[in-house]
Amino acid sequence: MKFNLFYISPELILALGGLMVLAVGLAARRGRKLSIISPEILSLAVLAGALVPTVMFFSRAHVMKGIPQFVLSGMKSGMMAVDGLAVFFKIIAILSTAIVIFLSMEYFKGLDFHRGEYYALLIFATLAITMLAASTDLIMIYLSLEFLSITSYVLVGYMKKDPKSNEAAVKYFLYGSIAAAVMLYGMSILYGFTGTTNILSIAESLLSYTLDIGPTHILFLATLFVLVGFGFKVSMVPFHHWAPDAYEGAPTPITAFLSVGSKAAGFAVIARVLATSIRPDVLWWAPLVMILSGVTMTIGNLVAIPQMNIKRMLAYSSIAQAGYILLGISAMAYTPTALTAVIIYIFIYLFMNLGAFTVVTLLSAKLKSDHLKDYAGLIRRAPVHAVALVVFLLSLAGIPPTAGFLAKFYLFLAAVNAQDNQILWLTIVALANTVISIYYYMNVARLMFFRKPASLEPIPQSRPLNFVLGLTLAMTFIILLYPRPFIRLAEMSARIFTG
Amino acid sequence: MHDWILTLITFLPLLGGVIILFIPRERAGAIKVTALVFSLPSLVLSILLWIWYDPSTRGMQFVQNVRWIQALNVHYYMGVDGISVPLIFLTALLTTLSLIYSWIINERPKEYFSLFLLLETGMLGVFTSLDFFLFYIFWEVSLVPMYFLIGIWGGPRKEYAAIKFFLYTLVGSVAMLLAIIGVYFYTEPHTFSIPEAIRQIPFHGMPTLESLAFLAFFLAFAIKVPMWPFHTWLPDAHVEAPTAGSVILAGILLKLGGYGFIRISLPMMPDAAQKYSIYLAILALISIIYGALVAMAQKDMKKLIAYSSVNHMGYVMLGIAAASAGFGSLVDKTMALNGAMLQMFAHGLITGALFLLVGVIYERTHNRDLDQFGGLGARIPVYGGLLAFMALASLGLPGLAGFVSEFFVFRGAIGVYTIITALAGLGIILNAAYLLWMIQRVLLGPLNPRWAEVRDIDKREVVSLVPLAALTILVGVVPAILIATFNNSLMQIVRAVVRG
Repeated sequence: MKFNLFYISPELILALGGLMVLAVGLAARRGRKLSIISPEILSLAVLAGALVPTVMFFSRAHVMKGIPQFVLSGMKSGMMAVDGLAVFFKIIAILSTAIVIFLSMEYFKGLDFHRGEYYALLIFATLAITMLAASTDLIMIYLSLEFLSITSYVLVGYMKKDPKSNEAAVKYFLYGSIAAAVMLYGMSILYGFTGTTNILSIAESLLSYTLDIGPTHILFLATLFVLVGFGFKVSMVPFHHWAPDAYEGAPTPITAFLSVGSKAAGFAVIARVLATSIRPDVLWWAPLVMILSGVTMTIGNLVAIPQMNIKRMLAYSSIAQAGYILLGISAMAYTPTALTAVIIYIFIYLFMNLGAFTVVTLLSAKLKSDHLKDYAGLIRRAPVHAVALVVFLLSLAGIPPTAGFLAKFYLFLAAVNAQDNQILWLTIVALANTVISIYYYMNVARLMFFRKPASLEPIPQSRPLNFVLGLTLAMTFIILLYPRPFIRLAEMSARIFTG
Repeated sequence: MHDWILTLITFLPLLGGVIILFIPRERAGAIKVTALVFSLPSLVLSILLWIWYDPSTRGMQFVQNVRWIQALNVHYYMGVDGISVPLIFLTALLTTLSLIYSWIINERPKEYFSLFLLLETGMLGVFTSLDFFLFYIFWEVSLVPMYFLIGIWGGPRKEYAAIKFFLYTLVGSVAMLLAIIGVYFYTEPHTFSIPEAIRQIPFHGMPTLESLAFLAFFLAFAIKVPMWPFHTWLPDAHVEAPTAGSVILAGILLKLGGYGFIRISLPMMPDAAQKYSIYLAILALISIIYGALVAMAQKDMKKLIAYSSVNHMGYVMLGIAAASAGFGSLVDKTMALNGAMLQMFAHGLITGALFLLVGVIYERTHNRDLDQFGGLGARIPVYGGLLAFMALASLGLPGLAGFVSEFFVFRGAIGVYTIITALAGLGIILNAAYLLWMIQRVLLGPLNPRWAEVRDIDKREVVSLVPLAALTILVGVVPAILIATFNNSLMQIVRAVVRG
């Protein structure tokens, strides 16, 4: 394989771009008016710049055949793979960060904060996601995961003067560090067995092991430990306790970022490791993941019900959404189409969740409140936003005619397709959870539509937020009405490099 | 035009609903006119559809089939037969009349009328769609606007009633979703097409699976109908909903359940249908008797009519149960099924009108307590006449629509489930009892001085009621216009149940 910089260009652009944003931020802080080259605009430009080669990857025939064109330092022993899955998550990362930048533009308007560092950190976090999604080596995975985590910790605690933000960051940091340590321990066990950190070589090596007596129990434990680290990132139960506090305390755009970008990264690495490394024929992880999925969605939905803070409610909602995606992951053990379903779900989830957070950001910024009681009568004060929020919440629940329904439908189709209907019970749990989730989603709608607002003063609009709202709302309908290009995208993305 | 008529009928209301969103909320008049302008074409087209429908041809007509989601073999597949055509007309008619009645709504008219039109599209779509994916989408689409209609413009317990309605119906819907996915995997090649699934009988020779699928669909439809014991959402939803909302709930949404049984459950899972037919009949009987008895105990006029719906839909289910039996003559069973369809149509007209009438009196008196009324017949004679007329229609007075439908159900079902049908006759007596008692309490006797200044029914209300009354007489005297439309399609379904 040729050493070709082109295939690592998105990462290079993001890295260099991030540094440039940092520099521009310094200049901006000095009070010099650099209106066009502001950190926000530059970050968007950097993201656009990274998007171009990423999209071009899909046209490379090799990528579509599942053979990555570029693997650092050699073929199977490489550190990163540019395959369909990696490219898809690069797109997810770039899209979600772009939207988060728009949210940040509004949220931090008028506030005194260090813009350059903030946007630079966001770019670096995006870089971390792209690296994590492409990593094919345990060390690389650990590095990217920690890179993402550390940037996230700082971003969560960005509001230095806000005690809630600080508390959220500290909790996130402590929890994340322990989770990372456990994961590293699991990784070291895997290394101990196989003598290699490349995930594909690990699979080969473990397969030859299991032909004999096999260290299945220890392997199971190692997998569990590794899943602790990944599961923490996607807020899987029982490694989710950080999420509600982190989501509530963080600045709202960062909450949005955590709920989509960071989570997507976690799922990318879970999918890759469980599909190519600790494969179903190496270790039958399906029952474990199924149970985790069931517990995650149920607890997420149940604990969301009494929440009075919308960010906390959305935190538990996204915990539940992680549960649904895990259903897709567990179906991967039975049928290859499950990965397509997971990818479609994550794609649609990006739009509906970020859309919901757009509305939350507007209220966070203008009303300085995340308490549900301030959503009362929103239909009078910001009608378009209220209706949009209802659409996004219905989409999260999976009610037609939104794209969220298509996402869940695809997932259930993949799950029911499993051999001997072994995931059927989990599908039924998921359907029951849909009903439960409607209760708290409609609770928000109830407040917005049925109650009288505290004041009839219309909420001031915001251009960047309206743009994002239009985009996410449109996608929430378009993906259902005309899904062909997106399904093709998902099918192309489901091609993982398997050595 | 042929291809597109169903799409136009279904989606013109939605277009109207979207347009209304752009009208400033202060211009209530413009909003209401727009709503009417976009619901009338569906009504006119549905009449044309009925005239153009050819009952003698087998198969679906006015079919439109476009590939939608290729990867899943999902199609935008629309088509009608004799069963859907009258129901489409009923939907369009009741919605238009409800919109006319709702002209007095002055609180948040913009949301009201656009939600109403969205609801109309949802209901019409259920009757026109022939692809399970599409069917499910429309089925669910009708839930959301109804939730908001009840929750914003409803009575004192509106929030409770709204979420109860949503969650309860959703439970049935998700069960149906699982069954739909099952149908997809057990058809070869995998398809969501309803006519194709019926042709293939996906669970043939797999009784457990077929029973499970049947029960999953049963849950969704039984909750909608509603059959005892899945009826408990109905009193709350019907009573707390605004008048037009109750009309739509009772007049059309309940029919979605009956339609589901006839269109899907019976022909696609024939063995299970035969196996569970007796239980359907028993539950129908309980609905009939229970509904009537509880109606009799009501002091709230709206609740009385709500429970009468449980009773009347019981007759529908009795007809369907008889038609799904594994024994009995084809003639009897087809007659019973004809009766079920007639009853669905008649109940839509009659109970729709009754809810409108309750709305009329409530709007003037803000009272629904039957004991507080009295003597209104002399005070507001036109209203009294219409109320009495509709109540008599509801109890099955010969010459009116209620009689022919009940007659057909009983005449057909008695040949299949003799004892159950005989017991169900008790329901007719009970119907007469509580309806006549209601008339007596409202219209006869001494006039309560509180209502001395009550105004009689006005033009708008009359316009929304007279078509229903006229159709009630028409169907009662010439039921052939309905039977001729759907008899052939129903015969095919009865045959389909026994072929399995």
